[in-house]
Formats: sequence, C-alpha cells, structure tokens
Amino acid sequence: MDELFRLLPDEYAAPIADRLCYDRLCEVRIINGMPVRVCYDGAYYFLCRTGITKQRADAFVADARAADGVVMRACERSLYTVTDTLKRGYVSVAGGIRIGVCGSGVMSGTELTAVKDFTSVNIRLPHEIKGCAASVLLKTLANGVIKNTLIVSPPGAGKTTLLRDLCRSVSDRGHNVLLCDEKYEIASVCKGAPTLDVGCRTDVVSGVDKAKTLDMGIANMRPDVIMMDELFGTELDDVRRASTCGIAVIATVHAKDPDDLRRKQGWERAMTEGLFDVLAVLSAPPRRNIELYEGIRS
Amino acid sequence: MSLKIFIVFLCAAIGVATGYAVMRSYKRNYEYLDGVCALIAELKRNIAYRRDGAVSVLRAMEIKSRQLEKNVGEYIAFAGGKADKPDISRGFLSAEVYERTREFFASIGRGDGQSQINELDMFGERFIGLRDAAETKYKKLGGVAVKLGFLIGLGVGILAL
Repeated sequence: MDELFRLLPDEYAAPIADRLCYDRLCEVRIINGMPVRVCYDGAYYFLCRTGITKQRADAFVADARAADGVVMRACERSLYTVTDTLKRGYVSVAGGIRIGVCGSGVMSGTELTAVKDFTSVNIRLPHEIKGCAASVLLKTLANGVIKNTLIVSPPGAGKTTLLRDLCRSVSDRGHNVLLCDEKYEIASVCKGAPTLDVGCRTDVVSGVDKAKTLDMGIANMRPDVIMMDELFGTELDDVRRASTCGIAVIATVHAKDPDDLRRKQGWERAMTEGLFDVLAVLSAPPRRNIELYEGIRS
Repeated sequence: MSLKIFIVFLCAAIGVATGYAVMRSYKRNYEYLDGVCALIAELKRNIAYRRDGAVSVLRAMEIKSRQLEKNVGEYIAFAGGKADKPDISRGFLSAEVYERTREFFASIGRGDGQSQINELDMFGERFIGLRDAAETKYKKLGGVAVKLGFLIGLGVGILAL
C-alpha cells in the first residue's frame, strides 16, 4: 500500500487511503489532462476527493506531467534502471506492482531505443489470495504427478494471482519450482528476496525472458515444474523443450476461452498435440469463475 | 615584559588560527570535490554492471565531506519525495562548484544507461578539473596560509608593542 502511495501525488493518495479498501482496488489509471480512474471491485470509477464517483465533473484531473511523475517516482528518479522494460511498455515496482506506460517512442531505424514524454500510466496492483487455486491444484497435482497446466483468461481476470497461489501450493507440497518472473510481478523480488509468497521450494529468476530462464534453470536448478506468466505462441517451443526434459510446465496465456486460444498463432498445434493436460479458464471480472478442462485436444 | 610576550604570542596564535582556518576551507573544498568525483565513479561502475537505482548507490557510499553528505541526503529526499527538482543547499560552495553540483544532481537518472554514463563522463571531467585545482590550492597554499598567518600575527604583535 505504501508503495502505491509513494507513486501517486498526495491528493490522489489521500482518498484511496481514507475512503477505499485497498484489497478491492485493482488499478489506478492516469492519463495526462484527463480524469483519474480506478478499477474498484472490477468496475471503473473516477477518483475524487471523497473516494470514487461515476460523475466525471467531480473527478481529479491529472496535470500535464502526471504520468511522467509516476514513472520517475517508480524508478526512484533513475530511468536507466527501467529503460529495457519501458521499451516493452511497463515498469515494475516493489510489492509486485506493475505500471503499464504509454508515451512517444524514439526509433532508430526499426528499433525502439527509448520511450519519452509519457502520456498515460496504468498502475496495476497485485493481490495475494491464498487458496484461490485450490480447485486447479486438484487437477494439476493428481497422485503426486504434476500435469502441464495452462491458465487462460482475458487481461485483468486474475491469472497472475492464480498462478502465484498455484506456485506456492505446488512448492509447499514438496516440488522444486522454477519460477520465471519476467516482469517481477509474481514473486516481486526486491533486493534478492521475494516479497510475495511463492512457496518455500521456489527458485525465482526475475527480469529474464523465458528461453534464457530455461537455459539457466533446467540444468542447474533441477526443477520438477517451471512456472511462467503470459506465454506467447512464439514461446511454445520453449515449453516443448521443457516438457521433453521431463519437467512439467504451468503457464498463463491471454485468451477468452479455448476457442479464442486456438485462433492465436502457434496455439492450434499446441492444442492438437495436447501440450497442456489441464486448461483452467478464468472468466472476466466481476464473476471470475474457473472452468477446468482436462485432456483437451482439437 | 611577560605581558608583551603574551601579546606577541596571542597575535601569533590568532594569525596561526586564521591561517589554519584558511587551510581548512581549502581542505573541505577539496574533500567535497574529491567526494563528488568518487560518487561519479561509483555511479558509472554501478550503471555499467548492476544498474541499481542512484539512491541505493548514493546511500551505500561513504562520504567524508559533511556538505556533500548533506547534498546527497537532499537528493535522496527528493528522489523519494514528490518535488519536481532537487533542492541542493549551497553551504560553503563557490558559485561555480554549486552550479555544477546542481546540474550534476539534476542530471542523475534522466536517461538510459549509456546516455547516463556519457553524461557522468562529462561531469567527471569537469569535477576532476575542479578537484585538481582545489587539491593544488590546498596542498600549496594551505601550508603557506598557516605560515603567513603566523608571520603576520607575529608582525602585528610586535608592531602593537
């Protein structure tokens, strides 16, 4: 909570601290010159002096450099620490907070070299819900064997929260877990220690892409299972590589449902060959149901 | 007679103390600039490998100069706070050193790794030049100031009699 307040101007932080329940707050969205919005209990509201409102006229209006201020505070005035992630559109902050950033790109030929003049930020707050993956765990960890599991959901439905709990549960049940925390939001490692509970047998590789994590981790850390967030079709070969080494993979992907997933590049083949044994499909908020599919092949 | 000796002794002591104070001012100026140079070198080293935030690097530094310690504290407060610019106090710094110091603190963290290293190189050159001048002044003129202070004090004491 303190980390969020450090990022925000005091006038925005005050109503959040005084009038809102932090556990129900998912996002704070700031667009320069526009009303400040928050996602509260899965619905969007404007942030105002008295808390939240549906009335645009009452909302705080962000000043022309508000997004820049958030980014600079997020990196403690050291942009060079976050230029690589900024080029991928985000900044990670302690406590698992991820800030989506929009601004003007600086291109050198076809390469994006920097992002400047930030126009908007979306501060996404993580939530630790212990036990939320219990139903998935029953399918994933049957008879002591870990099955390849894919968590499917649209953005903002809670797949990272689910993955974190699954990671903690599998790890605490005696399995070596290698967690690929590319965006520092699952374990949120700060100064060499995870700040969120990912289990006592979890080795965390932060800020490194999935392929390199597999290179580093498979031989050296001897994991039973590898966990990774936000898988893309281009990374499925890495999953196959891990699977053929006898290591289970638990991952998440952005899609509405299995049919939507099949339409994504590279996924049709993965589904046909049965790369994942269990599919956990999360519905969008506020329902957040989990539908489980086992042995799905097209 | 003993009063006369006492007056001469007092004047010489005052002269030495004044010379010593001048030498101390040269020394603290040198120590300040030497500290800034060390700080720049450490920032460059860190950015080239670990790439920690400037605040963590500055916090971990051992700083001799009290004024620099104060300025670093002011920068850390700025980095953790919500002000737009760091408020760096001037203390005993000359106008030129103060201006360079303000520019230096304001430049930290405004670009990517390579641009920051280039900028630190530029500031490094400037501060090394200032430090070398301050070192020469301290080593050459510091001793002279004490001796001169003694002689002037002695002369004033004798003339006062």
